[in-house]
Amino acid sequence: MNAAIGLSLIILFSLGVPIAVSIVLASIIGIEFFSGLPLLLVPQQMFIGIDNFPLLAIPFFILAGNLMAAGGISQRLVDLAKAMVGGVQGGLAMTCVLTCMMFAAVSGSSVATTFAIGSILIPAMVKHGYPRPLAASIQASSAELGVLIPPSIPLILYGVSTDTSIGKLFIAGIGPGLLIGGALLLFLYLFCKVRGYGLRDHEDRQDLPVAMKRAWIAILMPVIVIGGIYGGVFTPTEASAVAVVYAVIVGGFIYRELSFKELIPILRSSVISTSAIMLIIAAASLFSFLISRSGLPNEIAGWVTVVFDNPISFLLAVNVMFLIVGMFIETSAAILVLAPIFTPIAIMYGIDPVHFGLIVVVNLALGMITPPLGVNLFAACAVAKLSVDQLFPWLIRFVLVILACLIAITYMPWISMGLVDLIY
Amino acid sequence: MVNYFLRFERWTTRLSMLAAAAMLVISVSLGFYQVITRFFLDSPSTWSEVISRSAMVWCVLLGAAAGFRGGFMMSVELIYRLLPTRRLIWIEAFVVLCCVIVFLVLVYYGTAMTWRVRSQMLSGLEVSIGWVYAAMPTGALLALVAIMARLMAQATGLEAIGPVDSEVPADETVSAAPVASDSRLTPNEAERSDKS
Repeated sequence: MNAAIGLSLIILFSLGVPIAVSIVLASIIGIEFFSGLPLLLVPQQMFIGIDNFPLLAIPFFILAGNLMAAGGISQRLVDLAKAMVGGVQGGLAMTCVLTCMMFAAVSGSSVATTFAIGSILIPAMVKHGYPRPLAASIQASSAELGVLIPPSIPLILYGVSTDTSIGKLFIAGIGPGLLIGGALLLFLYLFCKVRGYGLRDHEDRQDLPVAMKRAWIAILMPVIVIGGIYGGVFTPTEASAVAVVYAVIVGGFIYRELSFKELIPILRSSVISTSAIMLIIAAASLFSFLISRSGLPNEIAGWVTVVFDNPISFLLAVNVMFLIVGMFIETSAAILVLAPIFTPIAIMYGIDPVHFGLIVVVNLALGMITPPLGVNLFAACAVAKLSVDQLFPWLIRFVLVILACLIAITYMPWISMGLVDLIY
Repeated sequence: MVNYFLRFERWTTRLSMLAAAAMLVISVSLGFYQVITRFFLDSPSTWSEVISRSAMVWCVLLGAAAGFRGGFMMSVELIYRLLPTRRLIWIEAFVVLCCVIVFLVLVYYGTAMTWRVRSQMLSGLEVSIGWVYAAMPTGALLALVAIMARLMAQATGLEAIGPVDSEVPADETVSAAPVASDSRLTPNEAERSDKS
């Protein structure tokens, strides 16, 4: 049955059938022709997959992010970041990284970050003499931080599918997020110095106190969300609902840039994003049920433990596998199907599931900026009006920088776990 | 004939989107209500979580119609760039066929499942869990109408063929209008306009 499901999946994926539909159809083929199971399983398992309270954090954070972006936060964050790092040569490129780090803390999605920040900063960078493909590459790679710095949709998915504490995962995401952000900042600083980009970047900046005064309410939101979760005040799901209410109040009553009329398109787009991602979750839940029922995870575990005799080689193999998977498969589907299989194996090797979750998510996040299926690439190209292949020569440098960070995150657990151990 | 169907579909999809948006609002409000009851009223609510979850199930299934109609469901879009545009209608037709099979299974077995669980109650409430399960066949039926309309509109040349960037609808509201209209370009269109 597994072979039939696997083969149908590959064929359906490559013919461009939506991922959720591909997974369900492959499961239907497996159930109907290669097993004695009833098809009633299909709606039942899909239902169980989405009828889950921790998962609600995903649509709520999507909604909160959309509300914040429409409520005038993007421009304020850009101004603040520019006031902080914009003064040096290459400051605009660094502004992009820093803004994405801050925006990531109010949004759980890196694609949303690309659109919100890229539409402001890519034209600005082009105006300051950065080559257009470079500007798009900077944007695509900094937006990757969106899935590391909490709140993060992939980390919620990992937590739900492997029964790991989402609170701990969020904390653990801070270290790697800062590491990758810092590495990108340093790289851009040196790169612009060497190549001579961004000589006029220090122009038209606000003073730091002014920018801070305009943006502090937006910056406060992650403090409330993260603080609330760690203080045990509310669960991640409740925190996301609080974030929605906070976003409505800030956008509607404090910044006054969010009108009632705009709520309808925001709700509409949030529903579509929610539906797209939750249907994949529903489908993956059916798929995981079939796979684990067939005993495949145990076979894989048995095989893996024979081939890799220590955690170091195991982690290397996992990294390579998730990197390749991330290039082709959409992030949430990859996490939902693979994390439940590989996390128990990682635990057998003595790897903390929280640390392992970060490794998985950083790998898959890198897949978002690598072809052929890189959602961030497509988003950045759409904003910059470029085709994907024009980006490659510039992009490769950023991929290498993040790859170096990935190795550090994999083999130095304290980057992720240090803060967790400190708090818990 | 096609026009009548498309008009009918516009109506059903809009209606289901409206209901889905309402469900999202209900779900979020109950999540927030839960925080309030626990902290400010000091008596945690027993029913808000289960209703919040159920509303989300309805939101997801009802939102599917608009997602499939606009082609916003995530897929591997490589093939759209490999094939010439005039061949793409066959790919679209195949994709729609796959969707139709899945939706029909969900309508039929979803109804059967709903009927089977009708005597089970939602935890803590005197309401049948069947009301939540009913979202599955309902949403699938509406999505079925929407996907047929998409294929008809494309086959008759009323709409362009090709994938749309996955999360674009989320960002039409986020960013400035000109960006949103550009991002609706399919990857192959974007490439072509660059070469010319």
